[in-house]
Amino acid sequence: MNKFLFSLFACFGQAWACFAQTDTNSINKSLQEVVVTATRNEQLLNKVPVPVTIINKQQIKDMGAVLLSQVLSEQTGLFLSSNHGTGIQMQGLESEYTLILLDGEPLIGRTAGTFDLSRIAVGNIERIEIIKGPVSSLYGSDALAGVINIITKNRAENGSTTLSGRYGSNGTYNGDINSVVLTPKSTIQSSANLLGSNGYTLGDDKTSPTIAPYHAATLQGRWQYQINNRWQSSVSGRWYNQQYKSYFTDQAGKIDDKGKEQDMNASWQLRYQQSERFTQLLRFYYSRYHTDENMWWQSSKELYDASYFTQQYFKPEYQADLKIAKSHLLTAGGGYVRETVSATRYDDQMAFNTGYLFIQDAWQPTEKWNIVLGGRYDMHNQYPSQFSPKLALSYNLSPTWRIMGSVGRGYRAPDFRQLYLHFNNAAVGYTVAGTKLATEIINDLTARGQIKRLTVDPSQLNSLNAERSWAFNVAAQGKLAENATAKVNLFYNSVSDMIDTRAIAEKTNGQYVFSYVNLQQITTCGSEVELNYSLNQWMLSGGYQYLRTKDNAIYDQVKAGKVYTTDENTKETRVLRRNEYFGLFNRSRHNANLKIAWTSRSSDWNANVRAIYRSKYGFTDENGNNVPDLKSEFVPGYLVTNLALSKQFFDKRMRVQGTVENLFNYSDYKHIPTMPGRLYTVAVSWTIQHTNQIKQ
Amino acid sequence: MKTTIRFAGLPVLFVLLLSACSKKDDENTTPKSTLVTVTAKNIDGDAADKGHFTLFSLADNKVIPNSDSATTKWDIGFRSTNIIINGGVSGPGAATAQVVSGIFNDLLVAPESGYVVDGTTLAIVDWYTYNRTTHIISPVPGKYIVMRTATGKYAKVEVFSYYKDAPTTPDGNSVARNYNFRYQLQANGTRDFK
Repeated sequence: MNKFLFSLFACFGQAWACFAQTDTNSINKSLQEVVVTATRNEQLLNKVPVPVTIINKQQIKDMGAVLLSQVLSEQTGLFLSSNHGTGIQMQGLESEYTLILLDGEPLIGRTAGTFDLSRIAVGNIERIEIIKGPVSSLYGSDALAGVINIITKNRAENGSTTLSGRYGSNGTYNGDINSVVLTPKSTIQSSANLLGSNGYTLGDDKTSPTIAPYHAATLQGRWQYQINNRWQSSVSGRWYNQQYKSYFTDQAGKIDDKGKEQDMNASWQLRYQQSERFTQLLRFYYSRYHTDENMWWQSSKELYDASYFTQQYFKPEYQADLKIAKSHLLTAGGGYVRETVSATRYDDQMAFNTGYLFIQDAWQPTEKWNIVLGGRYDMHNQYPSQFSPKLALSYNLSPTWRIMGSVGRGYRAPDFRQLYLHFNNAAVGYTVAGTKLATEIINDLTARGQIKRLTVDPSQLNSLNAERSWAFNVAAQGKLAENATAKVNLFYNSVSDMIDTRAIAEKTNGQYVFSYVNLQQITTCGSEVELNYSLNQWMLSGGYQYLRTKDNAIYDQVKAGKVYTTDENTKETRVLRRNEYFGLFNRSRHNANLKIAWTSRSSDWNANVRAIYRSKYGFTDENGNNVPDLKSEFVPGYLVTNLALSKQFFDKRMRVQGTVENLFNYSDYKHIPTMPGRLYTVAVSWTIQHTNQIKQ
Repeated sequence: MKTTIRFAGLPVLFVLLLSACSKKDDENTTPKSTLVTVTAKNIDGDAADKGHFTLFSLADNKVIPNSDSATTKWDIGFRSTNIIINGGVSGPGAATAQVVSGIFNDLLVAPESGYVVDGTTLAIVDWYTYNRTTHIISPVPGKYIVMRTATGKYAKVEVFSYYKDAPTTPDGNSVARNYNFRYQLQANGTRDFK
């Protein structure tokens, strides 16, 4: 562990070696920026004692991004990872440990733990707030690595309507309409998005497309109404529908695969501002996620397989914000979550109930100190209750420099699959059993003579606990010069009771019954540096993250000389040396980005180039020693460079943009099927400013 | 000094011999060490999927015809990823075995206990891993077999490839069910691998 801390500081040094950039106006502006995710209420960015990354609408537009995954992939320290959808890895923790919020409410519908970020089109996004490090103290489960809050709520002073369209390689199309209408008492926002692609097939694989053709539509709306000067109501809704058409090849022939994915949510918030000091908020949130998949033999048209999955989530929540004296802002609240799942692979409809309470004090003892202490208690009917405290503080060293530190707990609840899945793979013959059903399923299989031997006593499986972490973050932010800023962050996460699959019995057919156990302990730590520099029309920024990860049990074995490898030269088996332990799979030690933008205000041109580098990472364990060690077990490091060029016409009403993604056509489809090589897009948008409106 | 005999091609057989190794520090009555070190290449693990084990004699370093399966002429058999030994439910011999962790060369004395016979569960399990992404079977580094042969001699066996000609990185084109392994047989009946 000391070694780890040492390497952490060593990398901190390395990170400094890198450099980066921004413009003075935007820096000053950003210090006045208001963020909501860190404390559950509006706070000035420069008062919040945790680092918050903000990606604003202009940045998203300048990139020419269509999907949330594209936007996040260019952020320092975030990696896209593909596992049943495109997720994001943060601080070395996989995508199931990051909570995704839409206007403060959790998005549901994760497959194998991944929330597919390509479900979110960015056309109506105003701002994205990213907090790294656990925020379970406010949001409960899943907020273990961090939180990404997608904010669509518009704060514009004027109404407008924007129409835009984009077309690009692989028949990718995107059409958007976004409208904000202001009346004296209301803000009405509506948006519609159509998105699709012909997909693509990489390499000479004729058995299935790499990415299947799909078409998606999103509708979203919000009506914010100021009832009187104390009461405010806000109603919003979102509906998403995606259909895809694919095929794959079985030993006996080709199979057509058609599926649909639906996602909807609705919320109603009622805010009562009793006084300057006291605000109460009542909110109701409902979300439903549904998939349907049907497969047919291409030749006979007979059904091969059909499955569905429906998840529902309902949450009422109350929150009160009370200013006490001058220096305290007390936030407290509670809520209840009811979640249900019914699916082909579950025996009945399953339900989860969680009740929770949270409390937080944001305290500013002096001008220079900001302290936030909070905690949340989650009571659950299926696994032990969780308490997640967090303490964060910041100190202003000077008017331009600030240091911050936080310590907190994060947790992630076992999901439905881990508790209730009952899946028999007919083709291969294995079985997966959720822990609550494991005993029953084993008894049933034993009675039918299908169990050869037990490898684990099934009675040990009954209680699955949540995965829990302790995390430490230390950060410094400030100005290096009038037009240069720097941010540094060191992080350390220790996660225990990680849920893993394990073979619990061998079947007579030679296959296994798998279930889930709390097993692994992992540690991730590293450092992150971001620099910004701006000069006239130029903006230069750079980011770098150094990351070390380990599986504690495996690392102990490595230290004890009990992990073996095959020597590359002699081909003989030998002990894996400690410095050869690379850490967890799918973790790159280095991640860097360099972004250069040029904006001409006089001619309305914007050009930018972004280069993102990811160093090599372990992909798969070929030789069964549980560590990435052979050369063939790694994905080589790579660099992706993206370009965008845009020009505005007619007093900024019209905008034309062209983009080139992956300029140098890097491709490694065996490891990264989601990276198809160079892509071109062109886009046109038109904005109409609404007149004769005054926002109250 | 011991001599290593390399085995090239199936029917051909080199003999190994070795003179006594130097001395054991111990005593008097230690039988003369007769340690044999062999590398066997491309032993068929039923690549044609005919349903038969390939039976192999460690002492003779050769494949034994299936017609001799009911004898103690063979010690170990291969079919797909299953490895049987001549004992228990698999044969009339006295073979027992276990899979141990460590460095093959570093094992100088065979473990005294831990050997099991083939039953409903084979004695030799968990020596390989199957990768679901690449579909490649790989011996787990550091896992090897220590066994007593059909006639009760101690031997250690390490499979280093499951593919024809033992490519460094097997892929979809590699021919599976070809056992490449090395072994040491102590013919004098002791547990010494020195």
